Amino acid sequence: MRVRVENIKNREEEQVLIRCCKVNDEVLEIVNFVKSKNELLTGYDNSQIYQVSLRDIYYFEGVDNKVYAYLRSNVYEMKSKLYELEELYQKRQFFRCSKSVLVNLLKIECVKPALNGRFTANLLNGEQIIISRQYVPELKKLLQLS
Amino acid sequence: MNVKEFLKKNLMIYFIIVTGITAATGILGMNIDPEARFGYEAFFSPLIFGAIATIPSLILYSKRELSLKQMLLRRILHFFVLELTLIVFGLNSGLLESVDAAVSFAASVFIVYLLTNIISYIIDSKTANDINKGLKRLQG
Repeated sequence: MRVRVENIKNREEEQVLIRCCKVNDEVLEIVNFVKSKNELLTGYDNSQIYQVSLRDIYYFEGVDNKVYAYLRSNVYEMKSKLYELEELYQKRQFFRCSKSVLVNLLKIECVKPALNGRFTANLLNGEQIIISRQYVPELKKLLQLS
Repeated sequence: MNVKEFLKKNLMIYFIIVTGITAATGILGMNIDPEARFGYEAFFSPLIFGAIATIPSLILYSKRELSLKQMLLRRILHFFVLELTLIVFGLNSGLLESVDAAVSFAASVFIVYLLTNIISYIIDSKTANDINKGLKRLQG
């Protein structure tokens, strides 16, 4: 696929145009990725409300019936359930890596083996999260490794 | 991990242990007692010991996700329970007849345990490597 970037004048609206013969999975993936660049979520921190960009979220974690979004150094409470976020963003590089965590694949620096067939994902902010063994086949499928 | 996954994983471990016991028995036997001869019943020994060796794996089962530290502690506990189970079974079944035999058997168990973990680690390292390549491709 040829990639072309065109400079435009300041007053014109920026846009991404995909010219393709057929809208296949690859095209949809690109569309979802571009859309996620602008997606904003509402996060809560000590009764204050913040707009959080989806692309800045490293992972979502469910703890005691609450869901938190972890950014580079901030944490916000979300009002959605983890499964709802999974349904919404699984096509946008968010992957369920354990029962309680939904990780942004674009924020993983590397994956290393841990004990008992599990893996640890080192994130770009230095945090480590566990990838359960049962989710590994799904991850490999997602990355087109099997 | 659910029960089905846990059983599936332990079935794989069982076969790795059986292979390890067979290899360790062969290597140690050739060095310690090369003249010994066995009947067909000897073929069942690795299978039985493999099954006994898999039972202590229940220690590693947990419904919730364990931290690395918790898992490491369980692994250490698992190793000692495994040694104890196998030695008690060996002494009661008459397969181990002396303290010397029990000590060399315990050493064999340690070697098999180490080999099993090394093999698992190599397989997991390859998987991690593949995942990392896939992630790099996805991240562009």
